[in-house]
Amino acid sequence: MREAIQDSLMAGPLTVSYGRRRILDGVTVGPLPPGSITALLGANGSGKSTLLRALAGLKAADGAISLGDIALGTLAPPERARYCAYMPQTLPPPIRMQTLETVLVAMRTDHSSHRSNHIAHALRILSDLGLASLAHRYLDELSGGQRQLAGLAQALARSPRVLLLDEPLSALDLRHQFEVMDVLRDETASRGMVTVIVLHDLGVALRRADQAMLLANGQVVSAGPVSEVVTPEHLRRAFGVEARIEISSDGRPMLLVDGVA
Amino acid sequence: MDGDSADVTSAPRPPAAPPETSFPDVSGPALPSTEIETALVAYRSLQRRRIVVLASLLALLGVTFVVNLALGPARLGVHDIFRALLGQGDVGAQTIIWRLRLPYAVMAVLTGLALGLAGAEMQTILDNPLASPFTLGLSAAAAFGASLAIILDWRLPFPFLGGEGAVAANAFLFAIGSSLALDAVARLRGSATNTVVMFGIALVFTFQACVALLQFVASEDALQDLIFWTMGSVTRATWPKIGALLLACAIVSPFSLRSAWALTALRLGEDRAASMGVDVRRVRLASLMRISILAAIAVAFSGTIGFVGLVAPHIARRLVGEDHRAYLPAAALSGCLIMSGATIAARNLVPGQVLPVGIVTALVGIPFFLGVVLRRPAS
Repeated sequence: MREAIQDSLMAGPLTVSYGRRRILDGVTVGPLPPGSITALLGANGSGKSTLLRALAGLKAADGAISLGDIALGTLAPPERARYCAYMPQTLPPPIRMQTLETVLVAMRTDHSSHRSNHIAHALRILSDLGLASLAHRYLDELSGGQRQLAGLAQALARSPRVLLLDEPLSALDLRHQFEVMDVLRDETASRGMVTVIVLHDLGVALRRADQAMLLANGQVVSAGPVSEVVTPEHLRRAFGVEARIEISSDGRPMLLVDGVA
Repeated sequence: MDGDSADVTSAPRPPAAPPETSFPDVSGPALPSTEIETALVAYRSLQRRRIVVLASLLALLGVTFVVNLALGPARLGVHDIFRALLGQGDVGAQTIIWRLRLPYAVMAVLTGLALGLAGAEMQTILDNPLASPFTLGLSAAAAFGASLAIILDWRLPFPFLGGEGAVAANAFLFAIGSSLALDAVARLRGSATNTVVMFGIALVFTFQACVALLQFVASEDALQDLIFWTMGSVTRATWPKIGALLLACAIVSPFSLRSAWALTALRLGEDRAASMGVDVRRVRLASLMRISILAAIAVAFSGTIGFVGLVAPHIARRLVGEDHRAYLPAAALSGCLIMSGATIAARNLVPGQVLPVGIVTALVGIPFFLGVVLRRPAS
């Protein structure tokens, strides 16, 4: 346990305001151990994206953010970028650059020479995400879902210790959603990353995340193992819906939403 | 909050692998080396192709430059030109080259470079394919500054400058002032690039109205002068002006190239760039300063020359993509090439007359502008 905490992501209590409006109100995060996936859940406007941006250092927050004994919150942007990769909800724009190029741009800060092992690294990430055949296609020729995968490749290729993803599945079809979650599982485990993902689909969270944090009105409703967080009582409070958790025939938890609470 | 604390210490489902903090390195199953080799070759050939494109643009520019020196009422061969450049041969030819054709040709190239580079950076930092010094009010502001000097003889800032110098100084002041205003809006509104574009369009209309007002009260002679100024021309080129523009380009463009990675990252999306460690705000402000200097000086000396700053970046994007290490030089060279070509046309379309080059660039630019607007898919 001690070892796990050493490289864990911890934050808070965090407070974030836009003008007078308080978006996050004393939110405590973690410790989230390396090699684990945490699903960030909550209704629209509950503060999920803001929390992710605060963790990424893109939104100023009151409160400490640390990775093990590294005080992430106090690092300058280029320094912090070595530890954290963040992928926003918006898709990468359709620009005139090849997929592989954009991954290389994301990987290197001086980007003066691309040695062959960098290209090999970028290519492996692309092929893990099923994008190998699109490596030399221009982003402005790709579909929205393909661009989302390219954006994910850009974040993964940086080999971060903290991976922060804002709805990485929003433009993907069913099969790709699970493929991406599987790639994220593998990469998270093999690299010992702390991965935090904003998810809308509670079913994906139940099946693929280790932990969950449920937010409502800028506060934590519940945090812990997914099965303890995604409960009818919590969902009623966070989403205002009546829901049941049933065990499906293969023994896995399944979420059924009956209607508005 | 209920009994659950925000503490998520429970162990993850699969046993966590020992934390390894490696930087770009291949882990997991390696790809077949042939695949990597193929990608490497493809990537290298892409880079090579870009260098070839840049070299071709440069060569083409060289050709138009020589043509620019050669064509005109007095026919001069390449041999005559080189002798005249070296200060040898016919005195008449020397005068034509050194006093007329060379300053025009050099001014055209430098103006094109400044406008092309300024437009390219502007489209990147404002994330808008229609941004350019012309469409966002820098040219309109300069025209207003010039018209104050031409019509009202208002030359407060530099009373020691006479006539034409005062016009250029006024134009420069207003152009730099309007870009500082764009700057301030960008600062105040943070990242809302649309606001900056809206503000730029507001500047265009404001200054156009102001110029129209001055035209309304102007004397006939002053009106004539102003109209000629606003048409944009490189015939006002003098060696001191060329020196100033050259200095500006020489100082500014290395900084542009040094920001190439940050600007490229910005094209991937503002938040993405920020997460890569790019100080988006600083990059954007520094770029706006560069744009202001380049565009303001170019417009102050050559008047309103539209579309070069708008079109050159689009040509560059088509030719070399948006890696700014290639895109910025390509946009600058495209600007040079357009201006150089337009100058040839302006000087030779009507025998014995030099048309204002702004007319020619606009005529070339409008169809392209429409093409880009109509082709852009609705998103």
